[in-house]
Amino acid sequence: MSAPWDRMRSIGPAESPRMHRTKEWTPVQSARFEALYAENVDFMCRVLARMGVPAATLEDAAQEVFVAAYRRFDDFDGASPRSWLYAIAVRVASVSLRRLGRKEGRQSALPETLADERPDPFVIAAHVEAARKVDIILSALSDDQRQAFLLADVEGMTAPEIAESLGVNVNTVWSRLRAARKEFERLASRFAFITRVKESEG
Amino acid sequence: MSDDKDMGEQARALLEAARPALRWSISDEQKRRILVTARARIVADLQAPTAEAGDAAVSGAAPSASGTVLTLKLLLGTFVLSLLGIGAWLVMREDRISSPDEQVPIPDRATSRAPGRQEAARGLTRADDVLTLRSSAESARPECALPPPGAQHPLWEQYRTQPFTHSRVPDISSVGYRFGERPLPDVVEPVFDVRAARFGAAGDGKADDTEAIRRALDAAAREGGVVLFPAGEYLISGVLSVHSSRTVLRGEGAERTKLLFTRPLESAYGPNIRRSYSRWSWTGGLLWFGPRRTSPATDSSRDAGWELDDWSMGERVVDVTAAARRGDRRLQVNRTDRLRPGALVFLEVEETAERLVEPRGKWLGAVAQSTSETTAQGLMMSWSHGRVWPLEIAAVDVTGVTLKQPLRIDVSLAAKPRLRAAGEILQDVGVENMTIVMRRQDAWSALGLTAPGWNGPFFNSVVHGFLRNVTVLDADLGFVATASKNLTVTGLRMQRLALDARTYTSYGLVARNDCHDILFEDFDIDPSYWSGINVEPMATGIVFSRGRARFQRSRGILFDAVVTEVRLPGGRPSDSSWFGATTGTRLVTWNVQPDPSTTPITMSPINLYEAQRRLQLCASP
Repeated sequence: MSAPWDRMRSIGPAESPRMHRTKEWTPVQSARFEALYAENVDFMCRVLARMGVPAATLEDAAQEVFVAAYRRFDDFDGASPRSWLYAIAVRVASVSLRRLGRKEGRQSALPETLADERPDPFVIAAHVEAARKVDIILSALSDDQRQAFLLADVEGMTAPEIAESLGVNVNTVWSRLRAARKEFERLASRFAFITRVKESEG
Repeated sequence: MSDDKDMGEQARALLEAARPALRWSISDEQKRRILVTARARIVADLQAPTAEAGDAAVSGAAPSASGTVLTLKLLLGTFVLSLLGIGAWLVMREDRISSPDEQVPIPDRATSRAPGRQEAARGLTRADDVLTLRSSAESARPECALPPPGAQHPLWEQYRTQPFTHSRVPDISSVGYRFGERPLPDVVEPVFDVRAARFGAAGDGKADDTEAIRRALDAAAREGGVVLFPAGEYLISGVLSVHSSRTVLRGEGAERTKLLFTRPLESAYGPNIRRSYSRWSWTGGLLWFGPRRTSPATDSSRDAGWELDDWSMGERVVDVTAAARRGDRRLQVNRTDRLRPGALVFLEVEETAERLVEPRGKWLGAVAQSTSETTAQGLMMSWSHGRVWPLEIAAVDVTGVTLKQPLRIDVSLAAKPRLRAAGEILQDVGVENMTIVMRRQDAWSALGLTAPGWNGPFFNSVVHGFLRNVTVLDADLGFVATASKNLTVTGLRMQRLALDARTYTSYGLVARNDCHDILFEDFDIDPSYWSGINVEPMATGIVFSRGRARFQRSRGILFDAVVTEVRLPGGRPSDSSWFGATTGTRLVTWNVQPDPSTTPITMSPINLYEAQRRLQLCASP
């Protein structure tokens, strides 16, 4: 332990943080970054959770996405931040899951903990119940269909945006989406039927 | 893309109903956390190529990590400047800790007066401002939003009309760090990096870093600041004590920074035996925050049966000259020249146990359950611990003081009420973003209260402290507070990995004697902790909100405690009935569910604490 003490005098600058100025992280950049962050952080967390990133590492993964986004800010054409971030999230989730030794593509629509389902203490339980049903229905869809459905009908992205996110043709997105909605429609009415039967039995 | 003509009415209705829950969002606190860490990493990145060669040479860190570690340390301060245009800034200056002979201390000047941006900016450039706290815009308080009347539980509707005096629902709207009015602080500088050459921690999980970390803590003790543990594993063989205010122990994330303790309190400090029990089963910790009087390093009277449950008290006293009721915010006193806004004082009363056990005891204003022998004994025992209430003064006038929070008790003149100055109190201390691992070799004893003291953080005489994003592995006690007030513990996880799967009669998170206004939020305690969350006698305003744990409550005098939106592994609370009847009041469980559960939460509002916060926000201008 003596060596570091002996050299104490030579580390002056390291103990005076204000001596150093950042070169590129200007207030303007900071503001742009914060705006991007504020608008998309919830979306990003939902996307990562749906990709199977567990709640315990969700914050770390989201942090990775935004750090990576900052590093590649020059690549961003400004068209759709969400598509651009989504593409980054795919890579981050894949690395994160590999590190955890988990398989990719769980794609559940709901987060792991109940607390996270509820943005507000007054949101009534009905929303959660409905979301559970939707989750069950979506689990019957193929991964591609589910992905398209969630991005379009839950997150409100446009077909070109989704195509850009996933790196596929717009027509492919449309066909997946049509199939997904059809299947959702079929299973939703089946779900309603089952619920009615159970109620009448009960 | 609303062109969903492929879907029928039914499917569309289901999707609409589900949408609010499907589009869930993370909490403001989480958002803030992610942003702060991301920003720090970006700034570190930008600086990496320009880091001075000299710095790298003396860092002693591994070459791969040195850039990030060093620059992070350097720039935690620097990025403050670049963000000046965006955030609002709070500058906290050195507060004196008053000795008992001094006047009643002022905990924090900013409490009564929030500095404007200009003032804060000026503070940043001044050399004597040693500590910069950031109040970030993104972690703003929840907004005032009330549900339509009639849709809520009848108790809630009643509470709304009489929030501070309801007979069954306690007021918990002002618990937590800074009464929940301010986000947890991001202490930005100065930073004491335990890996800096002058401290010399290795962080490799092999070398013993105890002394190096103590050097960093000593350096921080002079003026406060962040003791930073860069990503790594720190082997620690002793107790780490913090005796200074405004000292935050910070890691770089629960998965990146690990503190590995190799000895329990019993050997790191010494045995602490009382009859057949080890006191370390319920008090003390390997991260020890408190005034020096309870310091493991300096206390020589430790064999004298010392108690760590008490507040540090001052000498100065003024008398209360008029009775007051629960819910009142005003106390009339005989002289006010020694009292200052923002000061912490103690209300002392001399009640008798006999009065307390009266049916509908006058003092508690509620039912003390019986006058049976066990209960009376329990009350006497609890009573001997404390008859003081810490109160923060909001305003002073000629005849008395206005209190920051409403009184939780009736004050009768027969009880000779008086206000006493605080002694040595720690403020603005915290632990964040790390995992604490107990490297234990001993097998865990299933017998109660004989633990050797593998205990996590311990707070004594702390006001406005916090823990956030901390994981504690294989501990006896996860976190314990005694004689502390206004703490926030958020994102605390406890697990047992190295130990077998049995259930142990041990505690997870404990608010012990004389604790007040403590918020435990977003916790997850391994069900093997028989008493995952626990409140002890003479503690008030203890809130457990949103989490998963088994729980138990002591039978001593205990009131105004709430467990809300908590999942209960095994389906029922642990039993403490052999201790005798519970003698408390306003002990509320609000939406406590078995875990796992298939039943949705039905009681509305879902979270009593959050609902009260919102109600208060709507009431205040």
